Amino acid sequence: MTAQRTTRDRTWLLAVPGVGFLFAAYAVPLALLLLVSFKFPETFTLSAYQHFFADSYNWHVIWNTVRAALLTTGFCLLLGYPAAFALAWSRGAVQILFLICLILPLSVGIVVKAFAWTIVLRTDGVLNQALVGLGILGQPMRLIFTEAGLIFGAVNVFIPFMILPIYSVVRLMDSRLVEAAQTMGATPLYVFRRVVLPLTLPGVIAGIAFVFSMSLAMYVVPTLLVGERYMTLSRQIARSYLYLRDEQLGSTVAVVLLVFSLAVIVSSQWLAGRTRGAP
Amino acid sequence: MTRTQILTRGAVWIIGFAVCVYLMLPLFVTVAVSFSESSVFNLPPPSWSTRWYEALATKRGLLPALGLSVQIALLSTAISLVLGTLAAIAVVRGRFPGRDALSTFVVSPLMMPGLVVGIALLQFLRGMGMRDAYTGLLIGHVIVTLPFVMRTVQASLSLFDFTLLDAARTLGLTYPRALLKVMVPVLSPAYITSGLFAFLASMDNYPISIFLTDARNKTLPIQMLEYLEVRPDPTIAAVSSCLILLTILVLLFTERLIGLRRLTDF
Amino acid sequence: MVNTAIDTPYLVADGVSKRFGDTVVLDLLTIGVGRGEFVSLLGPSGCGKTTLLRLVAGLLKSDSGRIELGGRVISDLPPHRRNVGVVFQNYALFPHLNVFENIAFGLRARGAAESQVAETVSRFLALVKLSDYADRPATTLSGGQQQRVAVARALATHPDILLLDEPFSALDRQLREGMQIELRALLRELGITAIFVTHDQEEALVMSDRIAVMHKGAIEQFDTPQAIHGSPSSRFVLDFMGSSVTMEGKVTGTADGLCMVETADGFLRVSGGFIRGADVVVATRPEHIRLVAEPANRPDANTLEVSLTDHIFFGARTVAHLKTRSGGKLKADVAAGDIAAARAQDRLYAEWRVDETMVFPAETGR
Repeated sequence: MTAQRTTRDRTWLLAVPGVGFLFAAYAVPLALLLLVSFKFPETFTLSAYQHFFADSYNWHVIWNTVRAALLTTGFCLLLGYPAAFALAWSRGAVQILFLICLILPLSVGIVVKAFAWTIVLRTDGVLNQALVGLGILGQPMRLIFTEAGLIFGAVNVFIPFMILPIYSVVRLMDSRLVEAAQTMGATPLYVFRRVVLPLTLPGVIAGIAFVFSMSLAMYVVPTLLVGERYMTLSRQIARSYLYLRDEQLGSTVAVVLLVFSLAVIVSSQWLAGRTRGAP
Repeated sequence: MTRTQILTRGAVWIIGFAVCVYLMLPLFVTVAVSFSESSVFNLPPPSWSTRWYEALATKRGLLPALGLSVQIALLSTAISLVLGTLAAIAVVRGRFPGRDALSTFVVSPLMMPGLVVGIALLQFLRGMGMRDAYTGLLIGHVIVTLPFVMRTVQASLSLFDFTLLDAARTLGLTYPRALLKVMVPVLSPAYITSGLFAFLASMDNYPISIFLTDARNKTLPIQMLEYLEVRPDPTIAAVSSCLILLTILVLLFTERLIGLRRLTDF
Repeated sequence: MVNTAIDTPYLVADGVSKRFGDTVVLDLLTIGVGRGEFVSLLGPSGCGKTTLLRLVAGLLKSDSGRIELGGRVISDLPPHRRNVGVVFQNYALFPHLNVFENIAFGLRARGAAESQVAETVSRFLALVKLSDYADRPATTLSGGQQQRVAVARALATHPDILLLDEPFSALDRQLREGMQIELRALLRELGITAIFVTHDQEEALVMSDRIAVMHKGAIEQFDTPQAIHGSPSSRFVLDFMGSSVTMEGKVTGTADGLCMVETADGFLRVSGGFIRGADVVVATRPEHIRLVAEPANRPDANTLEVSLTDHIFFGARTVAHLKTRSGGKLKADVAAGDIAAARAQDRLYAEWRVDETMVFPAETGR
């Protein structure tokens, strides 16, 4: 009896180093940042926020950020969902190649990857050369420094984080469930809607949470692919701190972005809890 | 199989293949550019040469940046593996309230804007009088790598048979030694997986690092972006190509060791 | 192959073949099942019984041959148009739906009106005695309960035939016996035709109207349980159904419709039309062998001298292990008290009736 109690007591202590570290180095600084944005310790006011939200330019920036994140997540989902199935269906050497294609790009480094995309998307770059050469386009299309180019590059960076969570759920799905549904008279569309989709939903939610939060906060990809024309919250933060030396503005925007990220985390946890009925 | 099934299957395979090509495209571009003769980034290159590889050793600041990045990545990954394992045990075995919240907390840095975390940490450290860039970078990178370790190890641990530890203890091992001798080997695939992802995440991290570096301590991504802004030339492509090659070797080694499929349990 | 055929079979598989890569799993197999009949496909793993089931269900497509159900040719139809019901080995209940929704799935997939769905599902819930569990998530039920949900789910769409793939293999013995009886009663009440795949010969004997014993992709014997157990048509069927004892010998002559077979331990009488000199295997079952002190020396009995080497107590019966003079091994089912009596004898004989003796050609391979 005593031994059991000791073991139980000891367990939560194990988390103390890790959680303590994160608390001190991550949670506390963020909380302080929040306080600074309220102009603490001099006063406690929301004036910085009032200022921020009064400026329509900032709403424009917020909309850019959210829009880019939505588009990136949407395309990642559209392409990543079938790709996850292709990965699950592949065997042997094909599957190994597939996995290499997913993981190897992580080693290139986001800077070089984004830069490689600038080379590809340039007006005289490979993509335009191919499109014009194949006769799809009459003349080269402007992709660099456009939103389309940004989404192109962002999806390229983040799609593995959509594919892998969905794949891990697809892999666990019992194929007999699809067979059972078929034998009961369900058409392929009905099977997809009522069996496959609900069962893969946890993976989809995880993938969306990852990609949306990461693309909301992305900095390097927009910097290299769209530059000044397309201002996002991250770029605004960096600009405030590194160039404008306006720490007040920087911390305000930072908190706005933080709130968005927290909202994504909380809602994805809530959704995940609701769909947990499907093991 | 019905026609619908055949069409669906075909579409899935085509999309899968297209995504693979799409993912590998930047890699091919990088390697191709690294062998280009000219310093202008034209593809296809007018002529081929290996001069950028030869210039790697002499490029100002490149090797120190690479060295620093590797050091920080290795150290932060190692620290995260220890902290993460302990925390994962607590979450999987513990019976205290708020276990799920704790798990979410430890994984949350993955989904937070790195820029914001970096700024917050910088201001905090400065406020506390800590101006050492190396330590600051290390702290920041542990924050980056810990979520990867936590997620993977927690998932693996929930499948671990804890009676193995009980058996080891009845055979004479203390609890810490039992962990080391019994649990760590069983978890090694999870360590390899999370270690790889954590290492790559640290090597590649920009948002947190940009605020914590100083003139003498620059990590590789910071250095590379600087090159691009000041005077871009294919040397950076050469560096990346070397890193790509290294990662291919690591991946093939991993496939031999535990099978690449394990990596998807991240 | 002994095969009792039905006049107008409800389900027909005619000349069906299936191969996976280089392995031929089913080889021109033909079988007919009557309406309302309960047929078991019985055999060891790898004999093709599950493949045949999946072909009928439409989950596999045959390389050749034709499948008809109720007069319709269904061989080219996908599973959702065949109107078959399938009960899977691991139940395959939808984890994201509760019990009611699982049973309702097929009806809703076919576009039935909700009122009709509710009525049908309630009826089947009552039939499998799970009315109180309608709202529970399907996977929180016990194994036996999940099995009943799986059966209800398959039957709710009024399939033309019910296909069951070793549905009780994961249940413990007592539960299994209860489910066997329940299922049989339910199917009889509804008049449903069923094909039941199993590797458990006792289960097949208990449940079936007819059993198809399968071996390496072909049907060895397709007959009533009594016929298969009492008159196995081949060595394989004999070995697979119940326990048996065998002796090898050569036919030396015929007399009065019986053959005389010379074995290493003496002469045995069998009924059969073998030619002189043929190598045969003589067999009987332990439950037919009695231990006696004096040989009966009657023309309708076979007797061999034996010695008692061991006995094993099984509760309901005791099995005596015997050895013949030449070292051959026999087994006999005896009452516990017979062992002591047998030990007291100087000489011991194993005796059984000629009409309980089976004989097969000695074959290699198979």
